[in-house]
Amino acid sequence: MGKATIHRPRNFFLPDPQPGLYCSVGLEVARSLPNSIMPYGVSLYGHLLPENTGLDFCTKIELALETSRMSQESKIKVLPPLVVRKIAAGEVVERPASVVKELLDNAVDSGATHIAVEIKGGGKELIRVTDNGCGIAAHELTLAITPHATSKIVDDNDLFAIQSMGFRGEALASISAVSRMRIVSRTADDDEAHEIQVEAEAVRSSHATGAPPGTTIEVRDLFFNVPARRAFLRTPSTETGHINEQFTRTALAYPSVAFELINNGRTTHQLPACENRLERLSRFYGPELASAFMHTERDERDVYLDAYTAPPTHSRATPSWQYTFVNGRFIRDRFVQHAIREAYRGLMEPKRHGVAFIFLQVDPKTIDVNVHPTKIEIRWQDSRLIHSQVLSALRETFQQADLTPTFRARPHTPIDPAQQQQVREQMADLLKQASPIMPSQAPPSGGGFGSPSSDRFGAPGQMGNHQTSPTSQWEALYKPNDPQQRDYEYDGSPQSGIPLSPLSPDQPQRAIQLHNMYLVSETDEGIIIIDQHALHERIMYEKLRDRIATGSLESQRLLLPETIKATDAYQALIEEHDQLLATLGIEATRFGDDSIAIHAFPAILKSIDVPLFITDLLDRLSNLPAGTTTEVVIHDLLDMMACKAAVKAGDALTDLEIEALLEQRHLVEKSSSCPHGRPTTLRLSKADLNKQFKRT
Amino acid sequence: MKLRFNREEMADALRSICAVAAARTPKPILRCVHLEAKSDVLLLSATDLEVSVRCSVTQIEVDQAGEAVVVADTLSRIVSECNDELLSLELADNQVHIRGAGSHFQVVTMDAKEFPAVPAMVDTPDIAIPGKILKRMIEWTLFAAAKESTRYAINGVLWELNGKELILAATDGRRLSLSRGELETNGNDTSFKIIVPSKAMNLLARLPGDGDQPIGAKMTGSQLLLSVGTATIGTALVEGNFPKYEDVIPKDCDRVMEMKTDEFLGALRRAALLTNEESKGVKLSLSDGNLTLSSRAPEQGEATVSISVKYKGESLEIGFNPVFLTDVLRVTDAESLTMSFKDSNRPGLIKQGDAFTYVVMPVNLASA
Repeated sequence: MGKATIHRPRNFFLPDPQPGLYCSVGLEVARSLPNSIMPYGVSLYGHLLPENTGLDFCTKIELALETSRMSQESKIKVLPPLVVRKIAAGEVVERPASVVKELLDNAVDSGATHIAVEIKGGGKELIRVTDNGCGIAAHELTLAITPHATSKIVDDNDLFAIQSMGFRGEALASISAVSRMRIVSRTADDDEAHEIQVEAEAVRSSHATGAPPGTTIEVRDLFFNVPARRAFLRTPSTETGHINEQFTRTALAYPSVAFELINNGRTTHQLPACENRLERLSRFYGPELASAFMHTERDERDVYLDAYTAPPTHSRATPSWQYTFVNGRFIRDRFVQHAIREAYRGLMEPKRHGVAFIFLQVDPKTIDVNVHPTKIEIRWQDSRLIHSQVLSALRETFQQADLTPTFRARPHTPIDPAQQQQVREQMADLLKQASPIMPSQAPPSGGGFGSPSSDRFGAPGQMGNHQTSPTSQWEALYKPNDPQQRDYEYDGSPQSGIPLSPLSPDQPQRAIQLHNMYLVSETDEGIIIIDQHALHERIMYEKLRDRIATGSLESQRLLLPETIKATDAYQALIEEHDQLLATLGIEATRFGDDSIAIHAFPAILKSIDVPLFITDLLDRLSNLPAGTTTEVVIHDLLDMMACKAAVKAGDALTDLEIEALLEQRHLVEKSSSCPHGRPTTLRLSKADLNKQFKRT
Repeated sequence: MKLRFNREEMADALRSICAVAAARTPKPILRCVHLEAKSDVLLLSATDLEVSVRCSVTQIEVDQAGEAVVVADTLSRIVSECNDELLSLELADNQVHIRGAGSHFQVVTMDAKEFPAVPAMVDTPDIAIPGKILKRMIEWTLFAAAKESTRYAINGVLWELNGKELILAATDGRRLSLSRGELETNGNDTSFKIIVPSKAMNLLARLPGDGDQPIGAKMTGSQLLLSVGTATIGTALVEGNFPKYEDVIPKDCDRVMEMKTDEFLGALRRAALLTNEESKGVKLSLSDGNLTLSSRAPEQGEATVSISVKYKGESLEIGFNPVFLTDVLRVTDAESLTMSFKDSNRPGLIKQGDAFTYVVMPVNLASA
């Protein structure tokens, strides 16, 4: 029997943990779902459960209640109603964008053909959604804001065949609990409209007024009574970005409805009703991408699929341009995501993500929408069917589009990652078997790689003076087939006493390049194998980091600014992160309604496709987990820049380049931090080699 | 086909041919040269379907006319490795036999009928430009053209013809180079604004021919034909809009410095010694009569180089990528140049009279 406590986590808004909320439970919580936005913590046996356990708050309380009943220890108290409302509101209304989502859902459900969204101050000051739908009758208005009042379902059977966007009767009530709300509505049959004003669940006024048929819901001062939550809202531009995303999702799902978005008095989106999805996609993502889309349509086994996928050349750094809709609802679904990834596999680099818009229509009875507070996840009756339908349909489309030749036409033979991995593993195995490098086993192995011994140490400036004399002495006496003598000659040599320095015994003397990918070099202790890209990337990273520590990166101003298409959200991102971008040597500004202009670009990235780089960068910025510190972001972006600026696997290097790369190796060795933990160097000691050749 | 030819003349012609024939291509015939022997001339042509070249060898004796297609590079190497004055060439059994005093090469051929058509300048060209001037203008601009930009339009050189004035301009988005020249004749009072691929420009600059010979040019359909002596270059044009160069040439640069070209170049090169890939900028510090160039590469060191220049006014500090400056100093032939500025965030402007203008964007040097 353990103790369960409900905690107030970082961004929770309850004043203090309620004393009545303590209870004892005796069961393990095993269920765990990703992507939940659950802001509460519950501790079991004194351990705080991760915030994303996916259990909503009510479930947690129910759990606690039930188990405590079982254990006959009743310390549970029922929460006061307003606290319950605020808790529930916290589930549904996380930020202004959630309000926009709920109101848009309602507007769509009302059968409207035109929906306008107006926001001010990132939705913190005002959110107003106006539709021309069926409206709410005057006498039902107050009911609409009552918890669990809904026109959308009647009994629990309907719950498992949900046709509408909303069904819980939770949205308006939740929003009204944490804002000042005004609803004006008129049904087509009524002659006049009715208006009510609500503040924190209390109806302040209710009267008749004039308005066209339809509903207008105004939400002002969101979280005015929940200061903690309000304080945690991000800048207006970030919140606007989130609202934009919600707006985009709904507008993409309902092309036949005209949508309008007005931000601070400026119309940012004016979308007329369209005949097809492509037209709407084109409005959001530009005609260039829209014309590249491959269309897939398939109706099989009660799954209707309508998909727009971009060729791999339009791949992105993050999966944020993959949208899945089921019965008009935007969802995140790992089965569909996996199917998309599988379909694109082999067509693009492993870390890239395809652009895909998937619209599914299934029998509402075969899905459960009621599994997530914001309905962003659903449960399938037959997830395998969905996965296989999406995958096979996309595969078919890709095969017909014959996407493969563009990859064969690449200038360098692509490196088979499997093969690369295999080599790595073999090397790793070899190292595992081998004994650790002994400092005393220092003599250089002779004649490695067939280089004439006379110039084995010929690379000038790499060996310190203090090493010259023992080397030549040793060379004069060296006989390749006499290991005995080698050991003898080396015993007690001054070299073994040299402290670790940039000129450590491990410093490679000369290297050859294999497969345009690895540098292999002889060292005093054996041989080392270097991944050229990994090494260069880390050297670049270290240097960039040093630069950042003392100021900003060198930035080449552009004579002709580069422009890229960008959504409002991305435009907002560059404004939000302008300091950070300046540090990196990037100067970008909003350009017109739908573009970003880049005026300056880091000088080190000279042969990089500027628009592509900035797009990748913005993709990353837009996917930062909440609470990421600037330091982590810079680390991430420097890493990305280093990766782009570094030589690639497959680049042939000249001797001079190899030499320069090896000379800078000490920069990496000095540092303890490592950008992403990938090794740059494998070492094979002479002892390892001897063992492998059974020379012991 | 059977003929004898002067080896040296042929070797020269094949060099131009090889500059066009594609080295790596999925269509093997594009690696080839098309040989056509007429009674008194041997015509050689090659194309990569974008740029084509056609030239002739006249010091020949033809026994039997005909045509053949062989890999350009192979033929070129055979001709340049031999040391005979004359070589013979004969097509027999689908093989080309090349014979010198003691050597005999048999080279496989490809079907001559499959070789793409290569245009020739048949009429008199519309316009003629003194060869010296055009080659000069190409040298002044071509280096600034973008190499593999996704903005295709700037991967070529803009040709803008108006009356007797020809303007060439090239940019890679960070600098812009522009030169003006005067035509010899403009027959039909042609005017155009076209973008010519860098490859064709390169070829034109390297074609043999003394500088006094005029270079003829003519637009046919979507192709530009250029003739130098007996050779003809045909090139497809780059589609797209070249940026408006007038808009990026600053008009408000009021801080003017005048310096000796070779002194400036030398100083830049010395200062650039201590730059590296992450800090490639060189800082120009300008004060009365003096220019100090300085650079700093972490973990390497610092450089400071001073030269005297003609400058009066407020002092100024501005950073540049030294490559963008040395590029232009190498191609200019003037003893002294002017470079003018507005401030450290705005472009620098280098001019050599009216004939040559160069705009270069500064580097924001890392604040230390």
